[in-house]
Amino acid sequence: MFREQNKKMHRLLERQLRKWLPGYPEIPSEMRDLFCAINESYFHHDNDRLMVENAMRESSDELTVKKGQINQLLDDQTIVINSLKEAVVRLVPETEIGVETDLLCIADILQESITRREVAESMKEQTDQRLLDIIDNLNLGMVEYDVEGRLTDVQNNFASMFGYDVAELEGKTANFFQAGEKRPAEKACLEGFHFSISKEVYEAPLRKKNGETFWLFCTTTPVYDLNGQLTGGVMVVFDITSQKKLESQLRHARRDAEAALEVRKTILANVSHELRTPVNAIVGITSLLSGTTLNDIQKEYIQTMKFSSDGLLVLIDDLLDISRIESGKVELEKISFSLSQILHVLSRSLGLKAEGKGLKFNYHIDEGVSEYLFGDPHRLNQVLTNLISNAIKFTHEGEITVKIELRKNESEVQRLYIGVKDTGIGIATDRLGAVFQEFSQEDSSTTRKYGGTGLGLTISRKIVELMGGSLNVVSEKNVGSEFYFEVDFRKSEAPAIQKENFNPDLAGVRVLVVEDNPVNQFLATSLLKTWNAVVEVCANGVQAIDMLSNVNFDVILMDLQMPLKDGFETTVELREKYHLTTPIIALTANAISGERDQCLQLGMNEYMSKPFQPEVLYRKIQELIHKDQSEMRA
Amino acid sequence: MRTEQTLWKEDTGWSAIHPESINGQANLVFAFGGIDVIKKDQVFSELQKRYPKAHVVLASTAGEIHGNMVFDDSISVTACQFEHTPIRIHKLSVKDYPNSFSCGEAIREELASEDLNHILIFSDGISVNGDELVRGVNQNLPEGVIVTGGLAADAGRFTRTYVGADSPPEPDQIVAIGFYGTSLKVNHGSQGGWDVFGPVRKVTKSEANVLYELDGESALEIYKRYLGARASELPGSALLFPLCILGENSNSQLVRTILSIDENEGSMKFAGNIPNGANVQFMMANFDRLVDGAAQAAEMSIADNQPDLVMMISCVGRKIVLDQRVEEEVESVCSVFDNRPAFTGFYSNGEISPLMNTVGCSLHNQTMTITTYQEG
Repeated sequence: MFREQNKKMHRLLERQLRKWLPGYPEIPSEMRDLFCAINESYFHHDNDRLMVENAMRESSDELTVKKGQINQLLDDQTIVINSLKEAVVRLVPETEIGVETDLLCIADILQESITRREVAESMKEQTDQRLLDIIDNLNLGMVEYDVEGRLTDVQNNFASMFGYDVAELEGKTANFFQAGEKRPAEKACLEGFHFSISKEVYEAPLRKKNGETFWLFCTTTPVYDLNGQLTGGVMVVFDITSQKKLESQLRHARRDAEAALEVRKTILANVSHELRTPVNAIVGITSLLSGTTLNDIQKEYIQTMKFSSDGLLVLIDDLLDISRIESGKVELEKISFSLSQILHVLSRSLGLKAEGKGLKFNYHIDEGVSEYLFGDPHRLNQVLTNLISNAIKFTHEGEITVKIELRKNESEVQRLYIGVKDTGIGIATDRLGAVFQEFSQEDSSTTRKYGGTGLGLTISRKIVELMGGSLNVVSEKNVGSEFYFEVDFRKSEAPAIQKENFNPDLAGVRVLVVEDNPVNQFLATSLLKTWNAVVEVCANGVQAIDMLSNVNFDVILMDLQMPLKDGFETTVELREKYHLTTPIIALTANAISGERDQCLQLGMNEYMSKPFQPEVLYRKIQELIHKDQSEMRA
Repeated sequence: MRTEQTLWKEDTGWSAIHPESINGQANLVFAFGGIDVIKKDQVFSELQKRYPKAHVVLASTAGEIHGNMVFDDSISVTACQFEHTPIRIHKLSVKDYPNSFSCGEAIREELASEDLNHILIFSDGISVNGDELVRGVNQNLPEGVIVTGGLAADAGRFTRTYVGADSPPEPDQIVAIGFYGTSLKVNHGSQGGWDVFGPVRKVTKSEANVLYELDGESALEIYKRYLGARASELPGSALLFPLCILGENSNSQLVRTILSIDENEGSMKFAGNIPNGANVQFMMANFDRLVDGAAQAAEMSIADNQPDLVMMISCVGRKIVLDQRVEEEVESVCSVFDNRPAFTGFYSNGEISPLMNTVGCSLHNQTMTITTYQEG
């Protein structure tokens, strides 16, 4: 039956039929359909089983392969995740990432980190903007440029300083700001403007779009990228045009002031001449008087007069040379002098004045103070005169005491304490420092009451400082003051020139005095004649040249300031035109520094400022005559 | 509503009508038959003669369900008399429309009205993309309208199916029946009972319902490998391993069966769309679960009423797998209803039914889909 339906009988069914169906292989016809269905279901079941087994095997194989792939992927992913974790820890150092931390967790961390970064970036932007706003408000201009000096980022303020729009300046170089320059003088300056890629600070004049010139203060600094590569620079500029104007004004003002100072100097020089001329006469006459036969009282008067006039000359010099004193150009003399003599004279002159006010004046010199010291007796006299005069001026009762104390005594040098003490009105503590200032007195009421220029203490202090000391004051209001200083002096023998040995003699020497002032003419001729010289006088250079072309002289005393032809012109003409070699001694009432050099340069042989010491003049004449004679002999 | 049923078999002819109550009063007749018999003109003419007032709807199958039994090459006829429910039939040819979606839209446009209650669709099972068809029907469909039905079959040959209404059945036809009013209570249930197995694969190349590659590998080759010796029985044997389209959760799983294969292209045509990028997994029958699944579908459809008619549309794949045990699933459905309603239906190339707890209907494969009717 199954063969008919082209189907085999299932082995199980065949076994079952053989075992359980009597008469098999004969099958009852009514049972054939049943066995047929059973047979089909057996095959169906087998097929299903085979198919399922096949499918399961396939599935299993596939899943095994997939599992292998997944494991491999997992291993790869683990490596990736671990390196990701390391990266995250580096990125966000405070995070704690454990072994079990999964990707979602890392994503959260990154998300949070990104959010924080965004916030930070936004804050940074705000900060940057704020800084830019601040720069805007500060009126600073800022630009960035590359290494070639081409602008890459122009801040609005910078552009508007020049009157440009930002867009007009992008990519421009420093040359752009110098374009259209016409004046060559400024061109040189403008070329100084450059976009530097190093640290620089400079000022430069620049040209605006409308042609106007203005000044900028420029600072530059280099800019580097994250790799440390130089990418260009940043320049911050500040408009200093108004400062520059002010500076220029100040410069002009200073020039004016200097001119004014020059005028003052000239005036002082003229005043000097006017003042010195009469004083010169007094000094000269005094000198002549002291050469005559005098009784003791007359001698003493003459000596007092001489000291006073000398002091007056020094004072005039100080006034004239106040600027010299201030600039420290005053040089002290280093000659032998007698301190006791100075004090003696002072007690004569100022002592009398003090007594006139009903004040006691006394001085004390420590035993052991050397009789003769090296130093500048006139300056010392000047200081003491000033201090004592002040003391007298500000004291109404009591006494003035000058103290010379020996503070240190070495083989060569003595340190002396020199103080002037009074019982006067004193100085308020808070004004003590001010009294040494130029043109300063304790207060303006003092000036009204006591007069004075206020220069005295300043000059005194400067002189003391030049001597190597320091002028100080201790004072108590309404009790008194003491001005004092300590100075080192070198000990000295008696002065080289003793007046007792001075016996001048110019017998037979012919002297020409060229001098316009009659008093000075008289003084000079009188003096020279006492020395037995042959003296001729003429009043100016013209007369002198005229005379010299006819008569020979041994020496010429030449005043510098004269009408018609002054001493300078006359000398030049004599030397260059007439080749006259007669020694010329310049005599001048000016005590202007530099004049001596000028005289010698023009061909004069000596220079003396009036009033001169007769001894010095005599010595110089002697020297020149002998030198002249020895040269002639040679 | 009242029903009567009769069965034609080649060896026995028409069976006695049971119960013989409505006779000429029937207004809707369902006739499901084997591919070779249903297409015969005299079948339609005889039914038309017997039920002159009724719309006669015919469809070819892969097995007819009649009562609690399953037949092959028979004709199962169920005549219904709806007393309070207006019925409209719309029949169209697939060839008159650019695609299946348009066919669905046409059906909805034709049948939709305010009191539309239910649409029952019998469609060609080869030339129609069932997925697109139901998508077209669902488009703008009034809320609460239940759409169920099935794709005609051809005994697992997958070459040509026949559908007809009020005329002899023909290929490429779609018949949709609209039920109106509130008198008719329609319920539905659908269950598979298949187990997934093997690796989850991703659809890497597909176009609509044509699948080319899974995980970059030819899908047809994979099928052949899994079918082993039964690869030669393709495409029918592919019904043994339906494809499960995995959704985001287990409720939204869809099962797809093969309609045909193209050896030249290496492609496989499915009864519904296989979306590109979808995750899919092979499924395999578990006899007990298939049977249990059918009973569960019945329970889902029973709701709180005692239906007059139970329409079972099961899948050809289930029939192939269950083979001689196929009646077990029908019996398990019948046993759920204790009021002895009329049972009819067939083994199809695809089932149409809403997913559980959702409104829009879907095309299913490999399920037992049950629609119950009660008019009261």
